[in-house]
Amino acid sequence: MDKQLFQKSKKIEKITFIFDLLAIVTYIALFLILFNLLELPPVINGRMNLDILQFMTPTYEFLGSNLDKWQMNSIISILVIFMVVAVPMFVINVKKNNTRTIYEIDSYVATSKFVQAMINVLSFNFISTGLRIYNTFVLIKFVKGYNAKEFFKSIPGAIRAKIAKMKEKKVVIDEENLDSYSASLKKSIRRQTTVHVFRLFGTYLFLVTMALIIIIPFYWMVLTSLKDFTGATTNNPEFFIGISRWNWVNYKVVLTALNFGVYIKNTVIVAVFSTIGTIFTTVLAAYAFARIEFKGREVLFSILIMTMMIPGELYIITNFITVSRNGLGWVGMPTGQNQYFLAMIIPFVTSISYIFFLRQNFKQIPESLYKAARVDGCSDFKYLTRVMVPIASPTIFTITILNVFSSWNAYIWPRIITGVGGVEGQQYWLISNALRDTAFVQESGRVMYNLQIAASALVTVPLLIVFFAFRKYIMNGIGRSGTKG
Amino acid sequence: MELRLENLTKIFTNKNGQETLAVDALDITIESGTLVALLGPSGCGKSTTLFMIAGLVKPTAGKIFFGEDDVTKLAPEKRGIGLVFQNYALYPHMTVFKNILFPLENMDVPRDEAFERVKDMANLVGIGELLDRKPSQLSGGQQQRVAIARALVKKPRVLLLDEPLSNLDARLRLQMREEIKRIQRETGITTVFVTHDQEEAMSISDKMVVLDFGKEQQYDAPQDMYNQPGNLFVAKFLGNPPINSFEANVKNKQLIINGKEFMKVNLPDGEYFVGMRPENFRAKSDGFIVDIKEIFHIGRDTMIHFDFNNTNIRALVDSDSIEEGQNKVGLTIKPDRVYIFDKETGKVLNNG
Repeated sequence: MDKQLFQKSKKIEKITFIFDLLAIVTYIALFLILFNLLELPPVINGRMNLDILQFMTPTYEFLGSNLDKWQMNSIISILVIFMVVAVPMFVINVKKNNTRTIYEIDSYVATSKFVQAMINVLSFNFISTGLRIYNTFVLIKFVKGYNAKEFFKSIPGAIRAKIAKMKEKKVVIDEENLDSYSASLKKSIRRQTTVHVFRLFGTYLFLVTMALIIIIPFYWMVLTSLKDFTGATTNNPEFFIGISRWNWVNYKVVLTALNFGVYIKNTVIVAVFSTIGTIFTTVLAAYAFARIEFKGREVLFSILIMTMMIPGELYIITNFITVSRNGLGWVGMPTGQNQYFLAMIIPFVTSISYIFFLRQNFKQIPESLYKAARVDGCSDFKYLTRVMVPIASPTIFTITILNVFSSWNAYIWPRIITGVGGVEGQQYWLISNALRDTAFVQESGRVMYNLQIAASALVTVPLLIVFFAFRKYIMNGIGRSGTKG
Repeated sequence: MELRLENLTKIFTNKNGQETLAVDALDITIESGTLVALLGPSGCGKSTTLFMIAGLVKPTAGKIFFGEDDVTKLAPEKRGIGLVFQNYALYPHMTVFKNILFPLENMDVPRDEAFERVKDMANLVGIGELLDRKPSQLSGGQQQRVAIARALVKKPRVLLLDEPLSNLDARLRLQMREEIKRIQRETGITTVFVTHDQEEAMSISDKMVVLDFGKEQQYDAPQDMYNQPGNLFVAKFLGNPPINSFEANVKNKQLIINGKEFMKVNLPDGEYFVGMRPENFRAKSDGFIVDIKEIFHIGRDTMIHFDFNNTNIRALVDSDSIEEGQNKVGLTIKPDRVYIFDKETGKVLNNG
């Protein structure tokens, strides 16, 4: 165990991360530049003629060379593949490098470093490749004590030894000569092994099948969103298409011409503000119900819990009346006087189920901590912010994510609110409404399925990324609260 | 600083209006700089008393004085107390350093001075090297030291300890006992220590208070209390193995045991409770003859079981004074080690 070598390896890895990050930033920048260059069909009479989208063959000038449509598609596709590989790899590597201890280093770690170096070669990140290969040799030195030279020398010997071992004949035990007990023992061991192998095979077969069943719809969604109209609607859809035929322009059409950029911005605004509001009210209410003694606390809490039994659809109409012209006047007013965001955010800045969830969490924090804080001269509010919230932070994080999810998926309420006010309301659509109500139909009567799917992919993919990044917290939240999700 | 409780009473009322008398008219004066143990069986109101001194529980009646000041209505943080909890109540998300710093932060102590005080205090309790760890990375004894440091860093006028040793293993408990005593001596701070462990209380405290059902039973120095218990409860509560107690009659100023005269007492005739500690018996051939029921040899001492007035009595005598196979033995006991209690009130009648 040479601690210096371990530290050195960690340091090299840290330097590598800088170049990894630089590469990722470059990919993203290149992607954005090229994506911006993509040419859209002309606008005729205020409407984009999407019928001709697949027949356009524009040429692009980039860095002094002329690229046709197919070359452009290929380059953008390769960049996207790079990002899909590089970003998670980067995140996982950073996490591992921070948590890995000196005892966890073995030859597999060195090998995986080498494999990563090869991946870096494929993504044209040559500096990282060099650093990683150097790091591989540092790790080999750490694990085996070999220099680079000694290591290469040792390879033929190791291969020879492996071959010799494979050639070695197995010693066959003559079972006839064994006594009955040993024979039966051998038999049961054999049977055990067989059963084990079959069970393992069955388990993995099942898991792979299930994984495919889950992954294929997503794959199909992304694939279709990249096809042109003919490809998406043909009777014999292709399961694989070459990267030169991935039409990234579909996404550009969806984001700009079909206004999905605006809708995503709306959704993010609503999600962020309603989440901030929810966290604020939830933390305060949960604290009051968990810690502060006041008359009627239990009764009030029971009433709150009871409201959870009323289905949300029941109070939609009354809520609407509250925010509309006869109530607060946020919607249904003459054009220009409507407050669509307020109407969409304010009714959702609190959540009974999260209050309940967080209150249970707060209650688990020992009472003596509160007493200690009181003796230490800590006010109630300071105790909440300095002690309770940090201790319950995993729960609060879970609530945040679940709330972002539910506002991202909200449909009925935003639909009703933005349904008022005609064209003005349409500008405040959230993505779920937009997916449902945007006209993907052309004047010719065609429904642009590939664009519709591209829009859905645009809506789903961020959620998937959030889910994979924070699935521990999400599962935790769903499992414990038993509500939402 | 002197700590005085005057007629301190706490009544808890539950939802159904049932009242529980937790602390019953406590009158105690704790001298400045002493370590006083509140001792009693669980549920006797000792923690409630402590929390009332701390200000976390409001007394139903009575007053609390710190020196000359009446602090009964003062908020906990203004009383200048340090409190150590049974489970230490360290903030789990903060490092040791921040845990100790937290009270100073609330008192708006200047940054440099606060850091200095935290470091000094950590060195005093012997955790100077652990300042950047989280409480979960510490052993029980270390967590306890952090809790004491956090209580002391405010320079409190009174230090309150709520069963601080009950979560530690036996050896650590002995060690921490001495440690607490040392820290208390070094700082000279008036300390109140709650425990249900009589041995702990007797070894650590300058004086102790025995409580039962919220009532003060006796307030004395540990050894005096052991030798001169004020009543039957105190006599039974202190000592291991426990005191032998049995009923006996007094006739013509003579205590009658097993139909024979045992010793002379200056009490009117009648029935009384008698208490004798096992270790106060001596085996002597000219003593009171009893039939041995059982003998247990436990090294240095020998435990003898016999009957006094049909009650099983244990005596702890020197192993040398008992021979193998002996079935009768003569026992003596000093008259001032025989405690005679009133049958009604449980008050001691011949001693103290």
